[in-house]
Amino acid sequence: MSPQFARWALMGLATVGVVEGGLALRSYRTAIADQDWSEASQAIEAAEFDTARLAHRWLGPRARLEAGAMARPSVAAAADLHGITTLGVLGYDGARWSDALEVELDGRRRPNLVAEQHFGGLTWSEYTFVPGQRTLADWTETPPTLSSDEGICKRRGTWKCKNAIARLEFAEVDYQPRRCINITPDDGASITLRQEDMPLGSRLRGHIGFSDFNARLRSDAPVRVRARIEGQRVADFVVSDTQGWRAFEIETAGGQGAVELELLSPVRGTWGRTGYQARGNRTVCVELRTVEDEL
Amino acid sequence: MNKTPSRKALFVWLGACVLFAVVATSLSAAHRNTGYVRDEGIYFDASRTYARWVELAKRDPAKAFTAKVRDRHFAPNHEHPALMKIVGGVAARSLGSSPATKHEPARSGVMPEGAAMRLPAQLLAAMATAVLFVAGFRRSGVMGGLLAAGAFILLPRVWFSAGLHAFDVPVAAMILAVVLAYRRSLQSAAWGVAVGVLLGIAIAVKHNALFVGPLLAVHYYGNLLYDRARLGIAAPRSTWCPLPMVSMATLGPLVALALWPWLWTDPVARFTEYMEFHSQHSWYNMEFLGVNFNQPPMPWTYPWVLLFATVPMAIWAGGLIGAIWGARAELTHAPQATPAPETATFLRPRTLPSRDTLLWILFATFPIALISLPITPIFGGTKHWITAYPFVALLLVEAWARIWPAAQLSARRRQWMQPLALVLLLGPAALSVRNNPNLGLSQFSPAVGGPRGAATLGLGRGFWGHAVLPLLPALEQRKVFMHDVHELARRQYEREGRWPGGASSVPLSQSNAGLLFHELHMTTDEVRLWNRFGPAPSQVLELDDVPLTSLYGAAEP
Repeated sequence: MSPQFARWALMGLATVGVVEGGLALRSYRTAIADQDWSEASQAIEAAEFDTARLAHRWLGPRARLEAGAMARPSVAAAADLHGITTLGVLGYDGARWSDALEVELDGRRRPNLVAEQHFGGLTWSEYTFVPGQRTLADWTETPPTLSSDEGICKRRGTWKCKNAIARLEFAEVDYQPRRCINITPDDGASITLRQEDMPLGSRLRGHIGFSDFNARLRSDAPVRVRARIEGQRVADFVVSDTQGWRAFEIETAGGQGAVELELLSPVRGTWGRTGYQARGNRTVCVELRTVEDEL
Repeated sequence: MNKTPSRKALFVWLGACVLFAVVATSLSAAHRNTGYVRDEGIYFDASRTYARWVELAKRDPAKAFTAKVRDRHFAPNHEHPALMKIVGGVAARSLGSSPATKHEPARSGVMPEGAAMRLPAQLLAAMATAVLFVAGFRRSGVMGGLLAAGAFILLPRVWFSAGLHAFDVPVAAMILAVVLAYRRSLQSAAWGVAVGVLLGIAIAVKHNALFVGPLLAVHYYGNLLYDRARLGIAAPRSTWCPLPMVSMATLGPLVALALWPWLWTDPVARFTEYMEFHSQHSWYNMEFLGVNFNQPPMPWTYPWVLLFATVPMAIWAGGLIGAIWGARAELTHAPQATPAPETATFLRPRTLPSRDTLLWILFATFPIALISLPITPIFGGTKHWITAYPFVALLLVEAWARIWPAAQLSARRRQWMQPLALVLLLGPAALSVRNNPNLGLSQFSPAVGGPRGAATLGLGRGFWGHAVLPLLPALEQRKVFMHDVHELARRQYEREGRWPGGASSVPLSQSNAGLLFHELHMTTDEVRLWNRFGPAPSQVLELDDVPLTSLYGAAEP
């Protein structure tokens, strides 16, 4: 090796050391002071928004601890970015948006940034969707009645059916917290969720997913979903656990009507190293809203 | 400087002893504030049982050595070899304080029981650091020695694992010892015997060492084939199956067997069971770039990306330069004055250069390559290729040893440039350990932006349920859902009087407080906590703003 090359190698290593040392001084310290959290939480509490999100998911626990608004179910475990007009986003190091939010848009146009505030390492950004949307009805706030093929399910906090159990709760679907009606049916059970006189708005929008992580490991059985409005079948599809938080949308013509979702569950089980095993329950997490476009 | 060799040797050993003492003391002191990881809870329990057997063997050997009694004592945690647990247990009996139990009276010692059990592993880590200093010194003087030592022990993941009552850093230390002994064994009959004994001890520490013999054989026979093919030098028949290989093949298994009493009853069946356990290892959950993996294959890039994300770039890039430069020199340059190969014998099988760089490369890359194979079970974190790091450090020294002479700088320039370069190469790693010496499992290199950058990238920020000590006072008088804290680890806190008064460990459904260790697949547990306590935690333990552990539950009991 020539002296020239050796000197370049030495300089290269020294440069890496200098750059990395600088990055280390920047990385290995707190970048979000308690004061930043305090000021940001005041701003969040004072702000008006339909929902809020995090540009970095890892900010979640501290954000929920510091700002009550970030711990609201409609914020901490929201379904998506539909049915809203205003949005707040809390990020670190100037981040205003994220890939996860892009996924939540699911076809909707990105909102316009209307305001931004910086609190040390934190950034609070406020957005408005144009055109806006509003949510007319939400099954996680006004739950439907549940029945199974063996009769009406009784609700005392939890729905109890002869061949299923259901709760309105937080659930993990695809490693994200969601607020939904979480139903664990027996093999072959058919569960119907029904709401009379539900406002229909511009569309019905909902999600189906399988919770939770451990249950998904033990059962891969899909579920068949049939949607009816006023008795007319308007959707029929199958959801499997590989689809994660599966969105569905049904166009409506406004007014009110009886909305029904029927979930048909086949036998449970999974294929593993030792072949098919008929074990483990599936728990289906369901949410449905009526969304109305604003003019 | 005109030092005599004996003064130089004295200096090296003195330096090694000082380094050993400093590292051992620092590890022991710093890790008093490191929470007990899940596995340690199990090892603490097993260690106590194993040490009771040692005590019985001293008092009543006839009884202790019966199969029934032996098996009863060594059955707990028999999926791992016993050696570290035996010495950990003995250290605890000699140095640790422990409360009275139904088995034994209270003992007062000089340190908490857990700290005493961790001590043997810490001493082995200090030994590895000192040995690296000696190896580095021999290759490139004091700076080379300090570089080798620092590039190993200052890696945040190594520092963290080095303090635990576990097997990962001990087996890394032992593999280093075996490999260095193998080098010496090529020219020394005494080392030829020692290498087999050391290999046996290494196997008795952890199963990673089972690969060492075959890898050393690859190096040895690779050298012979290369000498023949490229240099036209044939090895005498007496060196085809030399003492080091015989020693490793015979003494290795015998020593390993001798140090693991569980195997004595039915060696073949129990060793087979042990092998099956690890080859059919359950699949752990690992978050990699935002995706949770719990079924093989993991992306083959996983360990390589994690190497980049957890080892400072200055160290691995320097190691890469050393590997390329050293290997090129060893493979392209014929020995200048070829020693007579016919003088090689069974006892001293090699007179030609042993091609050390190739040896370091083999041991630096094999553990990482093994984990990246699609058929390898998902074992988990970076600790599973920690055995590579001593050899990365030696490759870095190789670069150092070649760069300075090749650069042809004046002695005066070298005098100030070398210490500066040493600081630049080791500084980032040292800063990372200094940042938090107790949460190294959640530490990431500056190149990815430290913990915040890694969390943004979606790299797993910890496992093992150990990041809990600062939250313990808040658990007083609570009924606590402990999440990933192993019950045996909790009992160890209790044994040492560190468990908060009136706190009890209960299922979530009966709890009024709950812990959550943040991992992607633990979101399931997070929502269970939300359903009981709401989505807002009451305290959050962070490393550089990144939440590691959250405490949920009422503010007052």
